[in-house]
Amino acid sequence: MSMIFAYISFTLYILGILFSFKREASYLLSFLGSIFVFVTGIIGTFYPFTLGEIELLPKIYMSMDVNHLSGIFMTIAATSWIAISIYSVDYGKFYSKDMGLWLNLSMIGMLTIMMAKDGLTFITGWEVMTVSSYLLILKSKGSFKEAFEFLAFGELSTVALIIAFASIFLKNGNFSLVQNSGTALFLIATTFAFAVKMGIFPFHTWLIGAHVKAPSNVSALLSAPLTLMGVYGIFMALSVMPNLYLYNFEWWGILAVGFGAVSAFWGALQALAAKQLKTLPAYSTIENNGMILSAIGISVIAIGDPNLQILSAFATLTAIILTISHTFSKSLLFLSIGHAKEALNEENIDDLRGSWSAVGKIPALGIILSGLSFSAFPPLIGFVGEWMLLETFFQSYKLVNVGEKIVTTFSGIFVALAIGMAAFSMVKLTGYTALGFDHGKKSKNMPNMAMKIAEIFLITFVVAPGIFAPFVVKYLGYGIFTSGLFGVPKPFLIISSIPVFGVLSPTFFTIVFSILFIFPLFFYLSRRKKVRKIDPWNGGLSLKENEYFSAPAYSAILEIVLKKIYITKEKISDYEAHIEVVDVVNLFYKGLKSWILKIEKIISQILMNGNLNVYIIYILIAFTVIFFILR
Amino acid sequence: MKILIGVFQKDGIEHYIVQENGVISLEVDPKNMYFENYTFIKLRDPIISSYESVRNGEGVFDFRYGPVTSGVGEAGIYHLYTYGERILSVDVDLSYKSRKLDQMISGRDPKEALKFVESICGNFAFSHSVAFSRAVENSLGINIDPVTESLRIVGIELERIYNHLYVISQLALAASQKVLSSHLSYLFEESLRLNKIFSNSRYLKNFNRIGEIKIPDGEKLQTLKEGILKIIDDFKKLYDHALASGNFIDRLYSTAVLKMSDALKIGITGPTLRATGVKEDLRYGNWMYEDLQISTKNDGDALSRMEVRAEEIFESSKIILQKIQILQKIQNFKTTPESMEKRSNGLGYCESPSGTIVYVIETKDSKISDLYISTPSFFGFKGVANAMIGNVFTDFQFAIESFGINFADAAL
Repeated sequence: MSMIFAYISFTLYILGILFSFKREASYLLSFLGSIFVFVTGIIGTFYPFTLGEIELLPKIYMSMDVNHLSGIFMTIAATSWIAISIYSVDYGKFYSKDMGLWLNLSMIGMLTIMMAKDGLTFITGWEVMTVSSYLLILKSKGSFKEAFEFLAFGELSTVALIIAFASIFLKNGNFSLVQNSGTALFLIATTFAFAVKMGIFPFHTWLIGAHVKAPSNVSALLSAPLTLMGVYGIFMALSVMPNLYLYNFEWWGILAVGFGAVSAFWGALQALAAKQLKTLPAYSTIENNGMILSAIGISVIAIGDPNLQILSAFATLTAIILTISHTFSKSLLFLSIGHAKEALNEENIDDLRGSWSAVGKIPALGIILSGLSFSAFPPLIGFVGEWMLLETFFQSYKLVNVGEKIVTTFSGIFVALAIGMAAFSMVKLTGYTALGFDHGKKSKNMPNMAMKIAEIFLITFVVAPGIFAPFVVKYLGYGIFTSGLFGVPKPFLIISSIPVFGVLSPTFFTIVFSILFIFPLFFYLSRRKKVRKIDPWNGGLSLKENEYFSAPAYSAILEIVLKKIYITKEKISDYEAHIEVVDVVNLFYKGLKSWILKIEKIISQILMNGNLNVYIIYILIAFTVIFFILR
Repeated sequence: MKILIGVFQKDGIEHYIVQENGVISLEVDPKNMYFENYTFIKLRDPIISSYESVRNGEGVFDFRYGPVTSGVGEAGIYHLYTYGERILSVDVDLSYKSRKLDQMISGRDPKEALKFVESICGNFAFSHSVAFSRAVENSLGINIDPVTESLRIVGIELERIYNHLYVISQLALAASQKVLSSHLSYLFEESLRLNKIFSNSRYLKNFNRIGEIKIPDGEKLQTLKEGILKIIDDFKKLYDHALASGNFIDRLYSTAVLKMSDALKIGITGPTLRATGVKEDLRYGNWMYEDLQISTKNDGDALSRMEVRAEEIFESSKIILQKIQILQKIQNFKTTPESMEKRSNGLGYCESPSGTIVYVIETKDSKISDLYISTPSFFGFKGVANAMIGNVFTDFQFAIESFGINFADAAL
C-alpha cells in the first residue's frame, strides 16, 4: 500500500516531464509529485517498505526501498521541492519551457538516490540528477563555464562512486547496499564523492559559480536538495559499513571533523566578503555542510567507545537537525532573494536595498527569517541546530584519545568562529537587501502570487520546527533527548546528554519572549498615533544617495585586516577604486588547469600532430597494451 | 624656499604674499614666479579637496562627517570617500563657518576692527590680534617700542603653549591614553588660568591694542614666571612618559603623513611644515627672539607634528622666561609708540601656534578700507585632506588633531 505513494510520485514527475510544453502544468505536477514524496517519506520513516526489484543480470538487481533514514531525508527534500515547484509557476515564466522538464527529471534523480537499495540504482539516480541539474544551470545566459565546472565536479563524484560500488561488487558479488556490505575503499571513495557534492573544502569552487549563475529556483535546488544528497550519501555509506561500534573507523571521524570544521570556517569567511547576491548564500552552504560533516564526524568517533553512545546519538541528531535547518532556510533564502533580484533586476547586495518597501514584505520577511536562522537567532531552527552543534563539541572532552581531543577542540574553535562570522555575513545580507533604504526604487510588474505562497510555506518551516524542535527530535526517533526540567514540562526540553549536560527549550523561550513582548507591543500600539517619527540625526543634514554606508564597506575592515587570507587587492586608479578578494582555492584550480592545458598541448603536439605514421604507432601501442591487460 | 600664502589684486595688479627665511614679503605683479598652489589660493573655494579624487567604484561612498556631529568641534564637514575603512579621497567643506569677515571689518575704525579680528578664531585670538595690529601700525606709521614687542612675544608664546598642550592632550585622548590626556587637560586649564592672571583673559583677548599693550605689574610677571616653570616641569614628566608608551607612539607613527614637497606645494607653514623637515619660522626673522632654537622633524607624520609641538612648548617657555627676566629689570615701562611715515597700506604677520597669519590692510581716513587675511588653517585643511589619503577611519582623529587647525580660522 505504502509503495503506491512512491509510484504516484514517480508518475507525477514523469507527467511533469511530458507536460513540459505547458509550463504551469509541469510545475504543478512536480508540486503534486513532491507532496506524494513528502507523504511517502513520513510513512517510510515509521514503516519501512520495499518497492520491488528488477533483475538485469544474474545477481545484478536494481531495487528500491524506503527506510527510516531515507524516509527522513525524503521528507526534508520534498519540503524544499514543494516550495521550489510552487515558486517556479511564476518564476519559470522568465525561462524557456524545458526548465520544467529538467526540474522534474532532477527530482526523479534525487528521489531515486534516496530510494536506491543498490549501487546501480544509486548511480543511475546520481547521473540523472547531475545531468539534469547541469541543463538547468544552462537556462541562464552566459552560464556555460559554471555549468561545465558543475558537471566536471559531478562526474568526478560519479567516478568515485563507480570505484566505491566496484569495491562492493568485488567483496560481495553484487551491488546491494545492505549493512556489512561496505569496505574501507567504499567508505573512502563515497566520502570523497559526497564531500564534493556537499561542497566541502577544497572541493567547493563549483558550487559558487553554479549557484550564482543559475536561475534562483535552480540555485535553491542546487544548494538545498542537491547538496542534501551528499549528506544522505554519507549517512547511507556509514549505514552499510560493518558495524561501526565493533570496527575502528575513528580515523574517518577525525578527518570528517577536521574537514568539516575547516569547510565551515572557510565558507563563513568567504561569505563575509561576498558582494554578489547569491555568492553569500552559496558560501553559507559550504559553511553549513561543513558543520553537518563535523557533527557526523564526532558521531563516528564517539560510536567506537561504549561509554559514548549517547554522545554519538546526539551528534547524529545534531547533523540531521542542521540538515533540516539548512535545507529549509537555504531554500527560503534563495527563493526570496531570487524574487527580490528579479523584481529589481539587480545582481549585487549593495544594489538590492530596501526590498521590504520596494518589492514586498513577504520576500523581505523570507530573507530576514532565513538570515536570522543562519545567524542562530532563537527560536528558529538554525538556532536549535547550532546550539546542538556547540553542545556536541563541548562534550568532546569526554573523548579518551588525546589526538581526538586536540582535533575536536581546534575544530570546535573553527566552528564557533564560523557561527560568529555567519551571523556577521547574514546581518550584511539581510540588513541591506531586506531592510536597507530603497532609494525610491520600484519593482517591475510581474506575477508573484505563487512565489509568495512558496515563501510563506518555507517561512512556516523555518519558524515552526524551531519553536517545536523537541517534537521534531521525537519525530526523528531521538525521544531520549527530550525531557522536562526546571518547571518545563516533558517533552518541551531538549537535553544534550544523559545525564543532563545542556538544556534548551525553544518552545518555552518563545512563550516567555512573546509574553515579554506583548506588553511593550500593546503600549506601542496604543500610543502609535502620538509617536512622532523623525529621521535619525545625520550631522544635521538629510543623507544623500551616495552617503549611505555601502554593503562592501560593511566587511571591508575584515578584508583589509585578513588580507593574507583573502589575498586582498585594493585597486585604486585615478577616479575609481574597489577591493578585490579571491578564494585561494580558485587560484589552485586555476594553476592546475593551466598545468593540465600545458601537458595537453605537449601531448597533442607529439601524438596528434597530423602525422599518419605517429597515429599508426600510437594505435599499435595502445592495442598491444590493452591486449596484455585483458588477455 | 619661497612659499606662496596669499594672492590678492590691488588696482588691477596681482600681489603675492610670499614667505621665505622667516620673512613675509609682497611680490607685486610677479609674472616670473610660479607656484602650484596659485589657483587654490586665488579661488579660496570653501570646499577644499585632496589632490586624489577617487569617488567612484564598487562600494565607494561619501562618509559625511559633520556639520553638527560629535567629534567635529566646529560647524564644518569632512567628506571622506571610502569603500570601507580606507580613505580614498577627502573634501573639507568650510562654508558653514564663513562669516564674510573682510566685509564686516572694512570701513571700521582699527580699534573697533581689532575686536572682530580677535574673535575670528578664539584659540588664535592673540596671534590674529598681533598680526592685525602690526599691519595697522605699519599702515598708520606707528613704531612699537621694545617693551610692547616683548610683551606681545610673551603673549604669542603663551598662546603657543596652551594650543600645543591642547593638541597633544587631544592626540592622547584619540589614542585612549586617558591618564595622559587628563593630565594634559589639567595643564591646558592651568595655562588658561595663567593667561587670565597675566592678561585678564583666558584667551589673551583685549590684551593687545593698536600701538600698545596692557602693561602687567611686577607681581603678575612673577606669577607668570612661577606658573610657567611649574607647567613646563609637569609637562616634561608627562612627555617623557608619553614617548615611552609604545601604544601611543604606534598610533601616531606613520599616521597622516604629509611629505615636505606636498607641504610646500600646498603652502603649509608652522609646526606642520617644520615636522616635514623644513626649518621655516617667522620668529626666525624677528630680532627680538634671541637664541631661538627651531625644532624640526623629518617624517611628516602625526608623531613628528606632536614632537615639534612638544619641543616648541619648551622653547616657548624659555622665550617667556627670558622676556620676563628682561622686563623685571626695567623699572618704568615706556610704551609710547613712535610715529613714522604713514602709508595707505600695511603688512602685518605673526607666527601663530599653527603657522603664519598675515594681514594686508588698506586704510583710508584712518579706517580700514580693504583687507586680506591669510591664515594657517586654510592651508592646513588642504594638508589634512591629502595626508588622510590611504589612512583608515581610525586614523582620522589623529590626522585632524595633529594639524591643530580650526574651521573658524580657515573660513573667514
